[in-house]
Amino acid sequence: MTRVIGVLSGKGGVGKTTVTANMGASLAWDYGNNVVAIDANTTSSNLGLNLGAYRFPVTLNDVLKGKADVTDAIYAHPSGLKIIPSSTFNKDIDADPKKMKRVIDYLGEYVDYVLLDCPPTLSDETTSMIKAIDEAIVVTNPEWAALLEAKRTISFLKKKKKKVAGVIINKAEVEPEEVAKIKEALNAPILGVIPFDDAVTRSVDKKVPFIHVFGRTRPSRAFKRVMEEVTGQRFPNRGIIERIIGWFD
Amino acid sequence: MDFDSFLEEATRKVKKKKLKKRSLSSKKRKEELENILLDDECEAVPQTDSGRRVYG
Ligand SMILES: Nc1ncnc2c1ncn2[C@@H]1O[C@H](COP(=O)(O)OP(=O)(O)OP(=O)(O)O)[C@@H](O)[C@H]1O
Ligand SMILES: [Mg+2]
Repeated sequence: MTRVIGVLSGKGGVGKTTVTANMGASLAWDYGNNVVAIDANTTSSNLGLNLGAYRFPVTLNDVLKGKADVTDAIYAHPSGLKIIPSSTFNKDIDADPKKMKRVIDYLGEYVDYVLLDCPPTLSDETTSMIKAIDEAIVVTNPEWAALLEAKRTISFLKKKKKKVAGVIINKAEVEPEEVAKIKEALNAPILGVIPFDDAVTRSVDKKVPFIHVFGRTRPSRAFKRVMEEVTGQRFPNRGIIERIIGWFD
Repeated sequence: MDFDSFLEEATRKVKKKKLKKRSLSSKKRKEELENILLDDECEAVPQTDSGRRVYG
């Protein structure tokens, strides 16, 4: 059964692309799944950049414009993850996001996971992407504006009968009591809390997801726990020492 | 890389790939998609030194 998961937030800049890149690479490399990550930001794409590439001869925009077949827009990341990038050129902003569902139905048959790095806000583009997914992961930061937008996004998802797999609180140092309050306010499970850490931004320079290039840092240890929540399976090859350190994080 | 050279690189025109004729039967198309998704028969994103160290 393919899981089609949208990574959403409402507010921009909270960490959706970071989560998609790391989750996609980890599902493929660590868990050995067949995974496709799609950059669903057809007018401001940067998933490719997070995975070390930003110049693609054929993109999702070409597919949505009916100019190319989806098979022409799939690229392989060294982790085994497949990427469908969006265009970084203004001439391509007229792609029709409503065709997304068809693209996903076509891919779905062969893969275990499809991840959509969605745009912020609840624009037409975002709502078209929501139509194409089965479940959502909502990324937020522990600040009023981001939480308000996350709440609004979760309400929208529930109204559209989409499962909310859970919330990732990112760029955060939050005490357990505060996490409990956020959980109650958003009325959704919390998948994990990822600290603010420069290993995340440095990994973008290294062009490799932080969970792999800086695997022992705090954000990586936290993200491995998120992976366990999302997959319902223990993170493979996580040593005993790392587990013990994890108790004190 | 500094920002100017990054920008120049990122906004340089991408050479368009010649797209295959899509007169394939739906069975052939499915086979092609299967090869791409399950056997990596597609273009690879460039490997970096850090990437090589991590993924071999
Ligand atoms: N835990 C973290 N610690 C430090 N920096 C982070 C963390 N998470 C994300 N960032 C940085 O924050 C910035 C925004 O992250 P990202 O691009 O993933 O957000 P986004 O939600 O996808 O944004 P947009 O809404 O524009 O698509 C990036 O520079 C990223 O490297
Ligand atoms: Mg993004």
